[in-house]
Amino acid sequence: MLELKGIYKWVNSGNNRLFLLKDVDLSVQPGEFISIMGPSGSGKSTLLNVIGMLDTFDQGEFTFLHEPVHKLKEKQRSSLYKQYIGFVFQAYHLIDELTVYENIETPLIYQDIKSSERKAMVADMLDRFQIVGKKDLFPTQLSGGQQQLVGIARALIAKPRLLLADEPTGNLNSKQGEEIMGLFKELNKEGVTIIQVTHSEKNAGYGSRIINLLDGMIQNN
Amino acid sequence: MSSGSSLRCRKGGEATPLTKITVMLRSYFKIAIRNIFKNRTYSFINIAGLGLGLATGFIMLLWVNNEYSMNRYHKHSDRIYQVNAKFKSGNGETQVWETTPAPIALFARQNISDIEQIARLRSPFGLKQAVKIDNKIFIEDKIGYTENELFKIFDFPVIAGNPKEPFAKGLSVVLPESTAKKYFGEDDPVGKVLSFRDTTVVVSAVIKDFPANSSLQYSLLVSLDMAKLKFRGNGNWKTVDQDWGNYDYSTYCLLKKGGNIQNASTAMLAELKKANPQAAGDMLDFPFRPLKDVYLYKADGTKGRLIMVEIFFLVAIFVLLIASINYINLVTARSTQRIKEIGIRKIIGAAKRQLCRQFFIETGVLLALATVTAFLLMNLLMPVYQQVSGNTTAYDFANWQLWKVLGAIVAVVWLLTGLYPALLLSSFRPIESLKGKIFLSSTGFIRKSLVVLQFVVSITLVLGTVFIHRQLSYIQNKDLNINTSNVIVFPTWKMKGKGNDFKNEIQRLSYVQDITVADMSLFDGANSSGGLDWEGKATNENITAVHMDVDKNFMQFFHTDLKEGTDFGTISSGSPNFILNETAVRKMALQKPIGETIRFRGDTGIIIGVVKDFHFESLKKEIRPTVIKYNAEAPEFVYARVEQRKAQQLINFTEKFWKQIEPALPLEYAFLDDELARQYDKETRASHLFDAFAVITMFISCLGLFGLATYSAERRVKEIGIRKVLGAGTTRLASLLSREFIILVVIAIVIAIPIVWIGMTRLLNYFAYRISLQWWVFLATSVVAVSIAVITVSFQTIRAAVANPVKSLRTE
Repeated sequence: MLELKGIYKWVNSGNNRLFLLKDVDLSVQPGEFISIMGPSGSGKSTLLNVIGMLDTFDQGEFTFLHEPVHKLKEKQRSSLYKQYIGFVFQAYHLIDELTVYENIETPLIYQDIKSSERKAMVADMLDRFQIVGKKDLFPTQLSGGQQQLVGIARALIAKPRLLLADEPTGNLNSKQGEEIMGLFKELNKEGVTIIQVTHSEKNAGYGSRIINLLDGMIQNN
Repeated sequence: MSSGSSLRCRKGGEATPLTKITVMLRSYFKIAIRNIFKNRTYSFINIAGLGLGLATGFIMLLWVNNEYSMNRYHKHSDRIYQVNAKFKSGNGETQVWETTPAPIALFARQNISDIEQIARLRSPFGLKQAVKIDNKIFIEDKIGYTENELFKIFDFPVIAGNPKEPFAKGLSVVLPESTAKKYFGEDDPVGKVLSFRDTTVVVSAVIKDFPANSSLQYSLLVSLDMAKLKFRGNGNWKTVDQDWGNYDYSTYCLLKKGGNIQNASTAMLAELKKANPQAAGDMLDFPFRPLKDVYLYKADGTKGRLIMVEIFFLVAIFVLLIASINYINLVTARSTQRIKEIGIRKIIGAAKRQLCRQFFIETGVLLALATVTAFLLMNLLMPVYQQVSGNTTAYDFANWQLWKVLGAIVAVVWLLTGLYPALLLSSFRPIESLKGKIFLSSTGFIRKSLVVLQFVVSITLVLGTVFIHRQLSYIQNKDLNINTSNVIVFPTWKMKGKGNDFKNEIQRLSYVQDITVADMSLFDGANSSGGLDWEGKATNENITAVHMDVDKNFMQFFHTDLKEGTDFGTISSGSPNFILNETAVRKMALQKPIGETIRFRGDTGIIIGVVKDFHFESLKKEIRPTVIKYNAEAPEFVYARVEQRKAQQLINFTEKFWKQIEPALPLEYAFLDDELARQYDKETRASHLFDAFAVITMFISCLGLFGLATYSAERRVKEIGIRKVLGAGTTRLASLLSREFIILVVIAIVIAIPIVWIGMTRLLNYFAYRISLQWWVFLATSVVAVSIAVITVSFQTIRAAVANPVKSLRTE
């Protein structure tokens, strides 16, 4: 599905070059569920953002669905990730001014999907995550676990082929966390490729493969 | 990517463009409205500021538009000209009058092929006349005397009567619709009879009312035959159509297509030289003034009313600009709070263009609310505006022209306020905005510059207003060297030869303290003449002097100071005697004026005294050389000094006297102090308007400053907490927070002062007697401006400074 080859990312501070990612090679097959682990500052989130094309890299090659990402212009990159990638965040990042329903619907609006079709898609999603009763509430009226459910629903609404999750359970209690991870497992079974960043060995256990990162380098594979 | 194309198919059908847009719009509207309600203070400041700015902008620009469109609605307006008269006025200067002799139109009609139509119009405004219909009497002073050709030049549609020849043969009048209604109600006015004092006329036609954007405005138009009938002759010229000496008529012409105004003008000048050889030497030209310039420019081509129109236009633009800047500043200042939302939207699929649209619509929704507010404010402000401006223009909201102007203003403001925030906010990179890495440092500079600009404008207006007030108070309180208090002036020349009787009667009244007569009304236009001659005058010298004929008591009555010689009171009559003012003596360069012989206006006499310069005109003008002659015959104006509480008694007495002479017309009189104040009516009104502008701009600017301080305090809440924990006191913190704003106001003051200096110096030149620009006024005003800014900002800074640091640090 995607392949990273010799990816470097650095920042210059004074005369020193600080490497955020160093010679990262990674190949991901469709249907995998990968957990990226490592201590704080090891570059987990940076790697995830590079894969999600939200962040750039300084050197190396990145192929996504046969497209050479490193050769694409910003506009092409963003249209690529909008089409194929869904994002889930630790802090949920819902839009406070929008209701649950509207939050989930927004990506479809940006993709110019017909109203009737949108309604059906959002209704499916609400149904599936059992949040139909919450659809007219605003994010601040929900618990953390519920907010994250909405976040995942929003990430999935446009039927992405890759789901990127940056510590999706980091702000949740353990019971809520387990539910979310169970959901991920289920999604993965249905064919969604997932890459998650996590601190928790237990959560990492839900995945099919663990990548350990230290100082921007992959330790094992 | 072969798989890509097949993947796209699963997206399902795409919406049609129309539904696409409505869906987007609906969603954006929803968000905009929720945002407005969620941030009430912010929204209030924005809507209030924009609304006030728009209301002011609307009122002013509608007025400006009305002034600019003056007289342009006539179908042939680009071919209509007013014929003016330009001649030498001594000392190498020239003068242009807006009027011409009457026969010039007759001549042109027959002999100048470049002219298609030409018409005369006489407007002796200020002369009240009684119009009698059956037993009802109407007093009118906006009466014009004109002829049928006028209606072939201008578009004054005839709605009853003969449209080709609205004036019938004989004495007839043409009434505007509203006058006809006033006189005859719903009856058909055509053929009805109305009478002036000693003549009867027939209503021959009714025209539509003169529109607001016509500078010609009359209550009724009377056939020129009436003026011809009343003409008493001017020397050898026995009829109006022969009178080449008086310049009483406005002459309007419609040029033929492709006609040459130079040809026409030259032919007119040649004819005048033939017909009036005496005047030939001084007459220079008959300039053709385009109709569109008639209202805005003076006859000599200098800006007249246009100055005021331009100033108002500028101020209106500035007010709108300041209000727009407020919006931009508040949006960008608040954008830190929206960065997260923008980041999310980008990540879940928003294109830059879509975000731009969202912010544009948000601005639009807010602007719509501000526009509604503006309309409410307009209703409140309009009567106030009409009162202070003396401008009675009523805005016709059914007129699409008005909506065009309003629409254009709103569109421009939308673009101005929407563009920058939309571009700025939509340009954030998503991942950085989610991490809170965007600090808007670059926009800080732009924002600060905009705040400085706002305050430059508002402080300039405030300072300007302060100086205008000081100048007005200066000229109103300046010693005029003449005592005008408790003096009532009566235009006895209107009493049909009973002036002397009137004078004698009121002289006997015990409460009339003193009395004098003159041939002119002080502060109501003085007459002047050239041709003053004296011993030792250089041949090419030509002094134009004001002439006053007065009685013996005049000098004493007005408490003027005699510098040398004697007053009229001590001399016996006989040959004419003159008193000159100091300016006249100085201009004539007379070493020993007393006893010198002068010739003026056909009289030869000696100078018996010199009076200290006294003011009898607006202080905008310098005191002119004045020659005062003793002449107690036939008083044209009687001046009476009475105790204030007895004034009404005198007026009542005069009323009775007047009714015997002229029962139909109201008595005319004036308090001299009122006449004096009237000189500065225009300036006083303008100063009141500028008060309003200064207050509005300052208020809007402070609203903006308040908003910015709010966000600054929010943004720096953590810093404040840390400083507090480290031991900083409230005062110190408040001043730290205020400083960044106060500096901006100080910079604005520094920029505003030279602008005011240059502007006011130019403006004050308009007054012959003027104040100097004192440094302490600048200082005092600056102190006040800074104080207002400090107070505005301190609402927020003090609140931030006294807040509990534990709270603010915990939230981070």
